[in-house]
Amino acid sequence: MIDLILMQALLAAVPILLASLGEILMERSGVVNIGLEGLMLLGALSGPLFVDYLHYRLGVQLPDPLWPLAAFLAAALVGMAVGLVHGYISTYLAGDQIISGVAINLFAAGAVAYGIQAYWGVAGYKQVPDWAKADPLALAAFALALAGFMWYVLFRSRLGIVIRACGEDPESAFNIGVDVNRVRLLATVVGSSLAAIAGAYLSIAYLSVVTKEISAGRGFIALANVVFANWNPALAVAGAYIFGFFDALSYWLQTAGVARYEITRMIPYIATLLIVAGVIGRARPPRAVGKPFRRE
Amino acid sequence: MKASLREIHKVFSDGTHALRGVSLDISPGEVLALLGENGAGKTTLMKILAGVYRPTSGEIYIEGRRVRFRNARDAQRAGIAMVHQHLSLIPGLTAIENIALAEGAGLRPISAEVRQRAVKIAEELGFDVEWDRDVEELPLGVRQRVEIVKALYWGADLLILDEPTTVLSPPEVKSLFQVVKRLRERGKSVVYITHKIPEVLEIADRVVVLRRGVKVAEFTPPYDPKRLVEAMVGELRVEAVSRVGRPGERPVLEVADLWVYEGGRAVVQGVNLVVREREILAVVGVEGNGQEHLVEAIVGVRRHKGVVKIHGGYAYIPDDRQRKAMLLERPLVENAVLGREGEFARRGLISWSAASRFTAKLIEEFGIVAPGPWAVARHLSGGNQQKLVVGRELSRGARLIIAHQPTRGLDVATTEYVQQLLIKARNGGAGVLLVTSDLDEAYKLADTIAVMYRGKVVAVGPVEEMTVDVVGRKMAGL
Amino acid sequence: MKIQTLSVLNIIAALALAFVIGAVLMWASGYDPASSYYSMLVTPLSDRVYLLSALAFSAPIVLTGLTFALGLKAGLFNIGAEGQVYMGALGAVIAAYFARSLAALPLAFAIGLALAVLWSAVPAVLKMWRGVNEVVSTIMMNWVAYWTVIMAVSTVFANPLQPEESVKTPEAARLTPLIPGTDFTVAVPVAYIVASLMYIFLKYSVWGYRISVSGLNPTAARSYGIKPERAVLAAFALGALTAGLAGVLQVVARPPSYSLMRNLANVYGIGFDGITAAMLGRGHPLGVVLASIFLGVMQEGARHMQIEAGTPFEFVRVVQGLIILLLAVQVLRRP
Repeated sequence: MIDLILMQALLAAVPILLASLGEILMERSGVVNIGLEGLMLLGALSGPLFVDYLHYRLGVQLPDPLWPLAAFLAAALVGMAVGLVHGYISTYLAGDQIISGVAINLFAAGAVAYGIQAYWGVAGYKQVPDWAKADPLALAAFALALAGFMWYVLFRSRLGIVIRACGEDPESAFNIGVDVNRVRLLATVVGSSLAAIAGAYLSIAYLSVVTKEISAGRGFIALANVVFANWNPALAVAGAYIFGFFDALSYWLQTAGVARYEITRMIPYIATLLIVAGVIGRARPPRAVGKPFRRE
Repeated sequence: MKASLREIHKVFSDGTHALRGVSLDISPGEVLALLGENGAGKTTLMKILAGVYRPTSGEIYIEGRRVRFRNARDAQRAGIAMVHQHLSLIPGLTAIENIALAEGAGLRPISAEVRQRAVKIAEELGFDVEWDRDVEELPLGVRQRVEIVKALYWGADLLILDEPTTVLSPPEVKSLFQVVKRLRERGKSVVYITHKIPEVLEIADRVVVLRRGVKVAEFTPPYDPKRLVEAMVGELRVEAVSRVGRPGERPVLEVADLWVYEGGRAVVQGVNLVVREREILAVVGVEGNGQEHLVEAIVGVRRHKGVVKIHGGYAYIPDDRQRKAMLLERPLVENAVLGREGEFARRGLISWSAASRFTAKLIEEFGIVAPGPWAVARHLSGGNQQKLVVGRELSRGARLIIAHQPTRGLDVATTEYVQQLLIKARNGGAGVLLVTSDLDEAYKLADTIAVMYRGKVVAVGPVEEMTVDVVGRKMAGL
Repeated sequence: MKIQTLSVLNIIAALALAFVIGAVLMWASGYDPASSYYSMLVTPLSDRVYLLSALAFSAPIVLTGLTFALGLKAGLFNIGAEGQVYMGALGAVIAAYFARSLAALPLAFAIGLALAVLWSAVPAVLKMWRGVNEVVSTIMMNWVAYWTVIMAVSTVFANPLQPEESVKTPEAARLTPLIPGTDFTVAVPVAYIVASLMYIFLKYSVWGYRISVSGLNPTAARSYGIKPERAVLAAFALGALTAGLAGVLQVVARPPSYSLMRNLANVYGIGFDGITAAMLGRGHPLGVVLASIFLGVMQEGARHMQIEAGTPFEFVRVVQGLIILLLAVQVLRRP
């Protein structure tokens, strides 16, 4: 039974890991995006909605394995679009990144509930058909590979030096010739698409439904995980797994008493508080994260 | 390399005329010291040479050819590199990563060639660097070396060092001089920006002095420190004094064994000061020798060790009025009650009409040019903003007045006006701690003069005994 | 971005554009924008009962809007109102559990406000002692509050007769509607009075002045004897009081249930609505009031929109999100 829980933990960790990786990329470049929750919701909706539209409304036929791929692609595109907006606000418009993130969450909450109702005519719960489902293990492999790749890019490649420079000291980076705003914008577009893909995973691979509360706070857990991982993709894997473990454990504990479930849900947030307070470990965010860069 | 600046003018977007027709020649293999006080224009001039700023008018010639730099990169390609006073290494990256950053993005790791080149440059200059350590963890002296390597990495022939010893300890200063000498041996030109005369004496082949945006003198060895100081601060005239009466006996401010630390270094070292009633104590010295920290410690804005005793209340005129004394976006009334909001309140509620009347009185009494008490502070000119601050502070009726560069940046008439106000306050019984780098002002106003150098008070005495000669030399660290 | 420098023109433009985009979305999904907007914006104003209901919706938003606005004044980004509302509601439920009479009312306020202020103490202390950014800490506290309250309401304080809710406020302690047949309780005038008091506080009181100065220029504040740390603490505490008040009122003054839903449905989102209101209101207490009325009308109108035009009421959140997004887009930093 323990190996079942361990496997469940892995599958539960995937969306958190993907969203965390996206946020690490963004924050390392200097942009903070608290709209991960909203992005997940939008991704969770877009995937199934898009393939449904393709299949039923347009009558397109695709070989089976391509359907989930199409769904992820749709989610990624939606994520990129949102990332473009948030990224543009955060860079060239020098707007407030937190407010923009709050707006994304609000908008997504309404849009997803509205979308389910408007498209399928049901009040908030739609099963995902079998042909559209994806294999969660495949996504898990993808997420782990991505984590390794991102670690390499950030800490061993020259691109990583450029990205990190934008997040630590954009003025100096600019003086060396780095187009800070462009780097940040691209990072935001890519990072946001990862969060949306995480959402699509929830609907087409993990839970097989589309509901208006499908993300259930995972976006915020991912934010917590970024701090927990000290903005390092490798540690983010560990963190996501730990959170996934408690997630899986809590379902098993639910039979023992509802109280435990809520406490396990609280753990990621309390852990983050302890970390930022410096009680456990050192959290060292990129210095210029959250501050828009304006050339003087 | 041979570089020339001709008739450089620089006017900034806020109207400041920083450089007025400065011309300068630099030869290969020479160490040229650019000497002057803060605000003289040294950094601005060099930033123009390094491509960071563009001149409002004037020309730059490299090897006899006229050049125009659009940005720092252009200058770097021409062989000019600048190591800024506030080091521009990116924290969170290692030393080698900072160097490699200029190579651009790509998925490949830092190549071996980059490393080899960096190591070679360091070797030639006689030092070694831990390349794989996060620059945050490196001591400031080592960071500076990385900056120098970074500057030379692109093949610079002319290296500009802006106040390089500000952050160094004495042994590190010695090492830096070694590096500068090696650079000279290799035929590089070095422009060494400083306001510290002992350093100039040690390594400069030639000295050019700037004051208020103008080149006022050029010297070759052997150097006479007194003439250097004179060139830096201008002719030291002793003006007729209109002070009335002798200083009293009772102290209004006592500072004992004051220490202030920043970044691990002691910026103020065991300072003792006394200001008495009816006395103006002028603390003079070139800016950057701990005066700002001293003042901030006294008013309680900065943590310190030691004793500060203020007898009765105090008034405070900071050196940077916009940052430290004003609410720019708010009306004058809200600025006028800062620090005394309780006086206008009854039962916890402020009477803005009473505050408004008070502000109107200030406007009239101190000749502030403003549409009315409810005008927004930002719309006043700098001089009028300062008058507001001075008026607000002097009208507190406090027994101690702390004035930090009270007339900096003001026109002649306002300067005169503020100085007279300080004298009047002193004549009326107040004690004034005047911290200034303007020697004219100090001699005009002071009963007592103290000189600060490198965080210590190196001389103090009544104004009659503190001759310009002594003061000048002490200011220069001699 | 200084919300206070958003020009009125900016705000109107954001509103207009948000509604236009919303109309396009609606039309693309097969609903009728014209009738939807009519139901959403006009219908609530057309009938006294609806209007009173809209005002009832607006009351808690005013209070949480003040929380965020006060934080802005002090230079903070305090988005902890959401969690503090939950804690306030929890306090009222606790009071209902222990006191089965009129005493439950003052007890509800006492416990609810205390819990809310306690909740704000964590981010406040973290900021002062460790320089922790309050955005992170308040988001975390919101979620801890969420699960804490759900746990409490599902277990100890569950209503044995109606397990979907907490124990109900005792009848004697309820703040019933002032006008029978509506939702208009004393919560509404209380909220507006609090807003007025906040306005007076910020504009006329000594501490209000000190808080403003600390937010505008902490260096200058410190130079002249004002301790910005105190202002930060005050802003957190006062903000928690108003948010907690909103939570308490949502339990003791909300017909027909006078209890807390197990899924927190009657308190969820109030904190975020407050942020919207504060942004629309330019961080000014009176602006917050106006914006809250507008949002209350929208919320009331959403119900009508669903019934009359068939458009799902979640659409309101879509428009709200668009409004904030456009406000964020349109605000350019002044150099």
